[in-house]
Amino acid sequence: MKREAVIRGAAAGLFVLGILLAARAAWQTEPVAAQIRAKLADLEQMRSLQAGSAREEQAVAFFEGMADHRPAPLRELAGRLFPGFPSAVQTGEDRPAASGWTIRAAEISLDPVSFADISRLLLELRGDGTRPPWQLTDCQIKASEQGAGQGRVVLGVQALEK
Amino acid sequence: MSGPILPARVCLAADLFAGGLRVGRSECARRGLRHEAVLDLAVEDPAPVKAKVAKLEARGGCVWAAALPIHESLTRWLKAPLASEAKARRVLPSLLDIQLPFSIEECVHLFPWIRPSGRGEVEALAVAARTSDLRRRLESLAALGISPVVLDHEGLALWSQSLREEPPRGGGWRVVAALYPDHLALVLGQTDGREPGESRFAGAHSLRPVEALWQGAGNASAEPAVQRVIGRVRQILQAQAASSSIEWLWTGPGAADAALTEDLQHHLGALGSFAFHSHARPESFLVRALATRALRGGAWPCNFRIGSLAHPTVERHLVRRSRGASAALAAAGLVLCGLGLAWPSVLEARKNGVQSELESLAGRLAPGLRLPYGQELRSVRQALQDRAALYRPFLDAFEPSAAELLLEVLQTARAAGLTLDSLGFSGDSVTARGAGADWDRCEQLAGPFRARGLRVVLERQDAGLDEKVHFTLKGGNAP
Repeated sequence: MKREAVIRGAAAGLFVLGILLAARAAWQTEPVAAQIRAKLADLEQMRSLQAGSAREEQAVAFFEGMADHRPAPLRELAGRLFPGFPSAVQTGEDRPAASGWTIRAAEISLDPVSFADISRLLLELRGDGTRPPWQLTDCQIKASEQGAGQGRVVLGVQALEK
Repeated sequence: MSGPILPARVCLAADLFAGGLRVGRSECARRGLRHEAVLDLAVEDPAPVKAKVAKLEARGGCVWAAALPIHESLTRWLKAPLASEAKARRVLPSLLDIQLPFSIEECVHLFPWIRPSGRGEVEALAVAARTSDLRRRLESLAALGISPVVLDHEGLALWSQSLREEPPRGGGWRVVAALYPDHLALVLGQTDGREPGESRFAGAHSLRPVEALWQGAGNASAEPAVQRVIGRVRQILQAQAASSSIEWLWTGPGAADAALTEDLQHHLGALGSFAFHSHARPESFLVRALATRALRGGAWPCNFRIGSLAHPTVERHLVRRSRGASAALAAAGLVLCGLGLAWPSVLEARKNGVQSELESLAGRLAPGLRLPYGQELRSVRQALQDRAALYRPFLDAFEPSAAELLLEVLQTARAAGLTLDSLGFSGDSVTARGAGADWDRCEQLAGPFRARGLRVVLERQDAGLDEKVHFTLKGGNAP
């Protein structure tokens, strides 16, 4: 019976120790759980940043996949559409873009020109998808006093090039 | 009420009386217990009896129960002047010791019933038997190959079984009279119309010798024996202050002898008003009582096999149960220890896992960037903002282009017959001036801008000499 009492005592001691350790673990849980929650929230935001970054990379990859990394020659294009304006195109300042690409900026000035012809120019600037398009950034149109539907047109454009 | 001593389904109960042994087998069935008498024979030579007993045990899985005769034990009602039952339990042995004709160390004592009386006292029924008598009884049984797990008190067994088989019909005294060839067991108690478990056992007496009653029931030769028994009964009833209205229940082998019971009833009539009844199957009543108490427990539990007399099976069972409980407690403790030790590590591992994932993702988004601990998101966000301008032109290529807007504006103006004096847009702002045949047509020019989310306002100008409606359009990105 003494042996049984020793066994019972040992079992009870083990149980009490277990209760103490479990209580200590429970007491320590909340601070660590709060840290984990904060890190999970950071991770969630980081994943949304990753999605944005992935969109950027996909956009770059789209341009990388083009057959020709240079946009259509603007002077040639303007000369073909508007033969009477030999110096209609003025190049602007180049700026760097991601992955070794460069942003070419230019300004097309036509005066006087029929506004209806501008549509043709805009369609040509979009290109055929095999090379980077010229993107319209700003535009100034002022009708001349001689007649409606024509006047001075200044188009600011830019295109990516590599 | 108490449970059985051992978890068993079958009990063999032995009723060993002078010169005879009766054994009943009781088995737990779906509805109560199934009893059957399996042995009833004279004990002249122990050897053949032992062989038959061994045959009964052959099926295994059963426990033995036997009774200690009333004349080898005593019962006393005690009152401890204490309100607490726990404290009373400590002083009851001393109170019993005073009333014993022998030293309490020489006996086995039990308290089958302890209850606060409600008057600041604890009332208890004490049952005691000399250790030597108990050993002798066990030896007698062992000589027949019987090793009872339960050695019950004959009187308590008769009382509880009587209440079980014949529930109290009303309040009053009840006497259970078990007629045996060698003694007449009288058990008295009060039923008071209460539940069987609440009925009060008053005392048990053994009247001996009674052999003369059996030999000549109804004859004049038996008259002195009858008178002696009736005289003892009178004394007992008077000592218990039993009322004159008594429910008298015959049982035991003698209860089947109608001439004997009628003769005794005739003489008992002189002592008062008795309502005589008999228990069914009276010869096996005690074995049924013993088996029922062994298998089902119940009120007034009593087993003299405690301490040094404890049955090895019971001891083993108690040790096993104790070890089982200890093992369960230790297992629970181990599980809790494991959880207590492992849980912080699990949390830390989870935190490190999330941190590692955070750092890995940050490293992929901003390669080569120094990431201070806890500032990963802030650092990466800053790095992505810093390089956003480099990617903007690529993303703009997938947005609705300004060229398309300009095309649409020019087409709208042409379709509506509007003349544009000027048109300019840069970044987020737009201005236009022109004229149209009417205001509704002028309004159409705002459509393409609004369709792209630009917030534009069309203002009407004073009419000119050309009789056209002049307008100014201004706007920009919606706030």
